[in-house]
Amino acid sequence: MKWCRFHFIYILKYTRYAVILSVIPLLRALLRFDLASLFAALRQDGLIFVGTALFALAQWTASGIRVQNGQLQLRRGAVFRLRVRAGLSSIGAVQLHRPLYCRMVGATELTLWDRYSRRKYRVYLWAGQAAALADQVLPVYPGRAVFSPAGAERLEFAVLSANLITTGVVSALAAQRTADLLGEGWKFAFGQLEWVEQLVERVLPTGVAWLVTLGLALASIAVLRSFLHTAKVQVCRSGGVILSRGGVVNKTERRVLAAAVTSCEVRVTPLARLLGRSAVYLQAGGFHGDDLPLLVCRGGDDSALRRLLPEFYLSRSRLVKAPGRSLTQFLWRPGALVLLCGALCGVAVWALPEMAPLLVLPLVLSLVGLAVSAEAFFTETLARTPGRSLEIRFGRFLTQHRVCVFSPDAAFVFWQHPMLYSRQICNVTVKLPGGKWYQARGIPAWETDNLPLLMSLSDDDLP
Amino acid sequence: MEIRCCAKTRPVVWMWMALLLAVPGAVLGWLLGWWVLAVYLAAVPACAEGCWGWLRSFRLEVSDTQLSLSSGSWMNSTRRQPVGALCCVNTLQTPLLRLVRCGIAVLYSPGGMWLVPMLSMQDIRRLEQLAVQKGKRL
Repeated sequence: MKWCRFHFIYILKYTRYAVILSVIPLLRALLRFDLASLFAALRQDGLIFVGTALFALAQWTASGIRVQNGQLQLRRGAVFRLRVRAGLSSIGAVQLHRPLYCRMVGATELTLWDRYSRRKYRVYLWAGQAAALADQVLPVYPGRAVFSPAGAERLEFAVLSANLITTGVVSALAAQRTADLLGEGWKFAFGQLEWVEQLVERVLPTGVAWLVTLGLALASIAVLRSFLHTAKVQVCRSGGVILSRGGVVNKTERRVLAAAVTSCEVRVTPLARLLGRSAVYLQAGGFHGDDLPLLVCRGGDDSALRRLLPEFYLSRSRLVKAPGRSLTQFLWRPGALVLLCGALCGVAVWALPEMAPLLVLPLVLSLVGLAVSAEAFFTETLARTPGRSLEIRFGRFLTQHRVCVFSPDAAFVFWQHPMLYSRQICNVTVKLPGGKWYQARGIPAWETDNLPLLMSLSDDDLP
Repeated sequence: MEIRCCAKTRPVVWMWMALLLAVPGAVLGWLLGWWVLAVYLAAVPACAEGCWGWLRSFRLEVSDTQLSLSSGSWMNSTRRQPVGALCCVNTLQTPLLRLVRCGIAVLYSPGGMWLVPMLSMQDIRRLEQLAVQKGKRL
């Protein structure tokens, strides 16, 4: 097979900084109507742009990707050359991502993940070439959709996929960039927020109203972004490949080799508890898929997931008997946070009463964290399940994680300090191929002795 | 099979500790007074023996099915994985370690990397053979 040359959008990787550096002085000169500085900026920008473009062109001509003799071959770089050869059997997941800017020029961002390590290869190709290459690496055939959310389920999927923290950071960066470019113009957007805040202030105190307004704005952006990402999502199993595709503005197609799936994680967030559904994430070696869940499942109903992964199993029993487990180990961090927030609230009530409502919000959040940690004390576990998989259940911050590990190559680290040793318990970290790890606390030491051995045995051989 | 730190590397550990402590000790001694260097030099045996004790606590157990590496005494950590997950074994050698025919073994597997310090070359060869015979071929 001939080398597929990268799409010319690959050049943007090298020229984007030059473009940003060039555009800002030009815009400033244009906004001030200063012709002399405009021409000076143009000359300077032209030189920067030509130099970068020549370098990028040399890089582009020396780069390419192809599949030959059961190997994925990749070359890149003109000055410092990189050549990669990877067996097709070592590729665990492929993603074809088409954001709007790529679709406008007919490009696709193709990412391939290794199934045994955290290596990944990302290239930009023409849409047809990318699809053909993905078909060679992980071929798929039309199959019946296992999950295609519609109506209320679609809304729940979008809400559970929304990431408030990422959206907050992206929004803050976008606001800063806009402020740099437009000067005073950005204040218009905040003007609208102030109007919403005035409405909220009729119900809530001033400080809390601003926090609620900001939270509402970020949540709206996050849900809208997620709604676009998760539109027309369809998940199906095609042969040995789990296929997920969807999106309206930015189209994404993910192909995950079922045999390469290292773990499947169900995240029960406070919002998921309210909705009665949980988001499910899939990991396959270096592919972690944390940005978008595979599907959402109703609490306890994992039939859709079992059609994708027949070996998936999570036990129904909730409470775990773990003699010797220390309550302090589970509660000291959230407990300290509750005490700190409570103390701050107390001081505020006494010294600054107008600030007190503002501090109630962190206190409520830390109390939720304390409740999740208390739940983890009774439910945190790590046990071999039928189907040659391992179940790990643990609570962190506000979320309860329920993980089903499939990989027999998992490494286990058992850690004991004198307190744990005296109680005959230990903390267990499960390290998976691709760098993902999970930790369960307070596991009885005698239960962990044969864990790696049990993972490599079939159900019939189990004692 | 149980593999432990090779006794021949004890002088190497002593030498490293002496170098690590004596160099800053000399600088501080020159700046503050020679009694500082004396205190540093007095600390060398205790530190070297402490370090050697910690290195001696590394114990690699190899059975037909699993590899187990434990270390530490009062802060005990044990790492276990199936033998089949072992990908390859690399060896790191400094000139001093080469002199006593020892090395630091780096065991690679999909679940991460393990460092087993101060093994004799004979033990490292046994581990390499194990990786070839029973390990995962990528």
